[in-house]
Order: sequence, then C-alpha cells, then structure tokens
Amino acid sequence: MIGSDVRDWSLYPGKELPELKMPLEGYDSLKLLLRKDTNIIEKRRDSKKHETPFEVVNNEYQINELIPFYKDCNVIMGGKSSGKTIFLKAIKDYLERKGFSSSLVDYFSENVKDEYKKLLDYTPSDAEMKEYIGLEDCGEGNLATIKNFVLPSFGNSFSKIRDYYESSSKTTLSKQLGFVSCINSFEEDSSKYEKERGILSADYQTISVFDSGDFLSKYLNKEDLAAAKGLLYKAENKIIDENRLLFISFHSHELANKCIQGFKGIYTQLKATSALPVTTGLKGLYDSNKRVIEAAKQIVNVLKKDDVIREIASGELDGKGEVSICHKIGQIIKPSNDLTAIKSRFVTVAKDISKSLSKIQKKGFSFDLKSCIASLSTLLKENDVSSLKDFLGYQSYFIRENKSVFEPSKGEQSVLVLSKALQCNSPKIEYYLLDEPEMSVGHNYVTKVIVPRIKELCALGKTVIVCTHDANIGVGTLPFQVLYREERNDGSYHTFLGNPFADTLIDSGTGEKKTWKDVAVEILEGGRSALNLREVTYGDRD
Amino acid sequence: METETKLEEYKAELISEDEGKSFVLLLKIPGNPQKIMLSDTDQKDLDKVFYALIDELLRKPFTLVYDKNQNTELLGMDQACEKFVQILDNDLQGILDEGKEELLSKKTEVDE
Repeated sequence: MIGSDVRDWSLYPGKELPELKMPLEGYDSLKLLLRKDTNIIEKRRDSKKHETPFEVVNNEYQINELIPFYKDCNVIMGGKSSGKTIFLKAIKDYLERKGFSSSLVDYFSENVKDEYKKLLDYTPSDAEMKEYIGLEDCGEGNLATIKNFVLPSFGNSFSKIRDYYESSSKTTLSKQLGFVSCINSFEEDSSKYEKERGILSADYQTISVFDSGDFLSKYLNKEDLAAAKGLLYKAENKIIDENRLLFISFHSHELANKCIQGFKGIYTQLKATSALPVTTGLKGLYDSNKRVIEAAKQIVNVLKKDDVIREIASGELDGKGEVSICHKIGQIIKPSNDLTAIKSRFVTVAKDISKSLSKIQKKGFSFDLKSCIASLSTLLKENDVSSLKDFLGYQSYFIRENKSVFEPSKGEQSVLVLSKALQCNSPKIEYYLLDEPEMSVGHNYVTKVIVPRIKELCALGKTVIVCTHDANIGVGTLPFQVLYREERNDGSYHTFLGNPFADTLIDSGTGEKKTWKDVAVEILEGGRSALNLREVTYGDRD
Repeated sequence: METETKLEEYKAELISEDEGKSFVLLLKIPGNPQKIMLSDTDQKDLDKVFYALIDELLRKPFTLVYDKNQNTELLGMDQACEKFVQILDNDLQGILDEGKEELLSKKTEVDE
C-alpha cells in the first residue's frame, strides 16, 4: 500500500488504485473493504439496491429468478448459448410488465439492422410540416379561396342611375336625404388592415419575449433593469393604442359603408324607386380578384421555399468525427431535390399545379382568371389536394463532421444505433439494457465511448444492465453486480450472482461458489494462459 | 413634402343608337386600339370592360372623365352617363389608393 501522503499518482506507475465506487467513512472502512469484508461490502452496495428484486422468467432457458439489481452497472457474462441475451430480454419483459416501458432504453446487437432502418426512417410530423409551410392552416384556406372564386355580380348600375335621375332625384325627400345621392364610399382595405395589424402583433410579440426573458437581469443592475422594463411597458402600451386606433378606423369605415348601403336599400324598397349606386361593381371585382392573387402568391412563395435540414448529432465515428443524421424537408417540385414525396406519384401533378398557380398570380386581374381557376380546381379535385403538405417531400441521411454525406458501414451502423441508446439523456430514462455493445464497434469505441459512458450513467444513479464478452466493459466499468450464466453438458443452466468486491459468485439454486476473478479471466479474457500470452507479447511480462 | 402626381385623364363619351342599342358609352384609351364600349341594355360584357380598365390601370394609372355630349336631345342620358363615369372613376381611384405599391410591382411583373 502506498502511503496516504501521495500527491501525484502518476509518479507511481502501476500502483494506482481503481476508481472508488463506494462512499467510505474513513481509513478503517477502506481496510475492511480491501479485506473483502462481506458485511461492509453489502452495506455499501445496499445504498444503490432497488427496493424490489426483479422477477426474471424464461422457461426455455430454465430462468426463474428473483434478482436484486443496483442503480449502477450490472454485468451479465457467460459462454456462448448460456442464455445471456434471453436473460436480458426477460429483464426487459419484467420492466415492461411493471410499467417501466417509457423509462428504459435498450440495445440488442441482433436488432441492429432493424434499429438502423428505424434510425433512418423519417417522415415529418404535422408540426414540422406546419412550421416549414409557415401558414397556420398549411394553405388550406388559400386553396379554398382560389377554388371558391366566383365572379361577383355587378347589377345594372346604368339603369339605377337613369331611374334615379328620371324620378327619384326630383323628389324633395331624395334631396333631403343625403345618402340617396351619395357615391363616395369610405376606403376599406382589408388586406392593408390585416398587414398593419400583423406588423403590430409581431412587434408586440417581440417586445413580450424580450420582456419575459431573464437575460436583461444578467447584464443590467436593478435600477437599469427597472428603467428598461418601464420602456418596454411603454412600447407595449403604444402598440396597444395603435392597434386600437387601427381597429376603430377600419371598422368605422366598414360600418359607414354598410350603413350607406343599408339606408339606400331601405329607401329603394320603401319608395319603390332608385338611389344612386355607390359602385359600378369594378371595385368589388378588383377586391375578389385581389384575394385570389394574394392567396396564389402566398402558395407560390411556399412552393419556392428552400429546403430545411435539421441536423441531429448521432455520435462519433472513427475517421469521420462527430456525425449527424439529417432530416430534410422541402418542395418536391424543385428539380434538384431527390425527396420522397408525402403524397406518392404526385410530383408531375404538383408541378402542373404550381404552374397553374403562377399563372393565376400573373393573370389575376384579367378575364382569363376564371378559366385558370377552373383548370386549377380540376387538378386539385382530381388529385384530392386540399393542403400544401401534399407538395412536401422528405429525406434522411448521415453526414460527417465536415458535412459531406456518407453511407455508414455495418460496423458504423452498430455504433450509431448503440450511440442513440447510450447517449439518451432524458431524465425519465432509468434503465439502460445493453446486449453485447462491443459487437462490431471496435475496441477503440469500447474504451473511449462505451466504458466512460456507462460509468457516467452509473454516477447519475441509472441502472445499467449489460451482457458482454468484453473485458473492458465487464471489468473496466467496475460492476456493482455480476451475473454469470453457465450451460452444462447435462443440459442444465445455472445463474451465479456476485460482485468483484467480494470476488465471489454464488449459484442461487445450488449454492455453488465460484471466484469472480477466475470466471472473468476465463470468460472475458479467454483464460489465464491467453492473458499471460498477451502480457508477454506486449513485453509487459517476461 | 410629397407632391401629388397628376393622373392622365381618359375621356368617355356617349354615342347614341349604336347597332340597335339605345346608347353606348365609349371609353377611348389613348395608345390602346381597343375601344371599351358599354351599353345600357347589353351588359354581358361588363366584366371584360372592367378587366380592360384594371389592366390599363396596371399599366398606367389614370382618371376617367366624362366628355359632355352636345346633343340636347340626349340631355337626360348625358347626365346619367356623367354620373356613371363619376362612380366608375371613384371605383378606379379606390383601387389606386388601395394598392399603389402592389400595382407598381404588378406592372413590373407584367412588363417582364
């Protein structure tokens, strides 16, 4: 034992103590631990023990165990066909039966192919599509505006004017009632109104976000913070006032126009004569066409949008650095895109619809509009299109750290799938079940990523249960518990339970004992002779 | 200070008894070979007339004025036509007020 006055362990190569995983009160406790005192080991382990033992059952492999697990690393080891994977699956079944499905992540090496497919499998959610399109109803309203366009009826304002001059204008009542001959309607531009309201609303939101954030307090003292808040409050109130004025102005015009029209209607009915019309119908035609053009313009702008790519960090790969999976969403009508369409066999039609919409946008104020809309409506109806979601496509692929696209090899696929499970940081995940994580990933990944991450999870109090043949994982993670599965020639299966601290593994059925170190050397290192040979080969031993 | 641009004035005149219709209002737009005709009895082409007016407005904003007829027999009709043109021009100015910027951008697109 090196003295406790050691300050720099690097000066004593080969004498370092392994990481101490148990809290100890003092030197006496350490001495007891080093003597492998069972009581003190169990006392320490109990602090991380799950209250209820797990019922692990699989009849085919003669598994019917009640096993205490620890909120730390639990290693399952054993020879080929000893049923380790089945054991882990039985643990998973137990946790799912107990309602912990959403609290566990798992990795089974036999499922890598399917899990990799799932990893690549990407279809944008409704929320993603809505965010990309940027319209609350995904363009449904705009398409409906275009489809439902009807040429307004103008009436015969000539006749009304002539009637007015021939009869009505000569009556005293008509002369007394100003509205009868009134023609100037008040300006009522709804799109301008909506645009101005939109600007005010956006400004208000910006100020609110600014106001609600904590960042001001990070940089301003109390006095300045109060002043800034006061100014923001002032700006908010100014916006509210302007919005009120805008509302009053627009709706008072609307009310005045409706009143004039209404009074004229009442007068015409009561006196059985004509009042002067306020419009020839030209303005109404312009307004209805403008609505269609606006709708088409908004849709065309969406169809011209650039692709949106979301990069999700997916782990580190040797030679490629930090890799990411990219989820791309974009417009299928763009020739450069090789996207999977949300609506299958729709690309050609989508292009036709896009052309039709551009035509409507350009021909909006012309007599051709009606026929343009008719042909567009047919296309939309025949292809059951009611939303801009139908024009979207998607794609998923992996990129290297330098952003170039690559297709992962089989080994890399294993790393990516394992990385997803291992790196899951959700606080609600309590259980990490890993079956042979060392398979196909390379020793470098085992020592640089898997072992440190398992230790990290254990430090966070997570329950990691890992089946392994790898010494770095089986020993290097300093497991709190070790399960050793053994298949014997008589066809029986045995489960030994123990830990490296006590250096003992006990068969729960027969009470037979084994030494952990011997089993670990045999199973994980390939036997003592193999271990010795390696040490000699590396020159670590004569 | 912003000065108001004087819009070009387009003339509208009344033609009587044209092709069996009781009267025809003729809108002549300089530089546009098409004459826009509006009859008091036959208004099925009113939408075409309106689109032609909007189209012209997109090219070059204008104001419409009625050219009084000298024929005293048509005095009543003349008065009605004058009012009609006044209301029509009111509609046109409403469109202009509403979307000057839009009309200008539209004009650019059309020109392209």
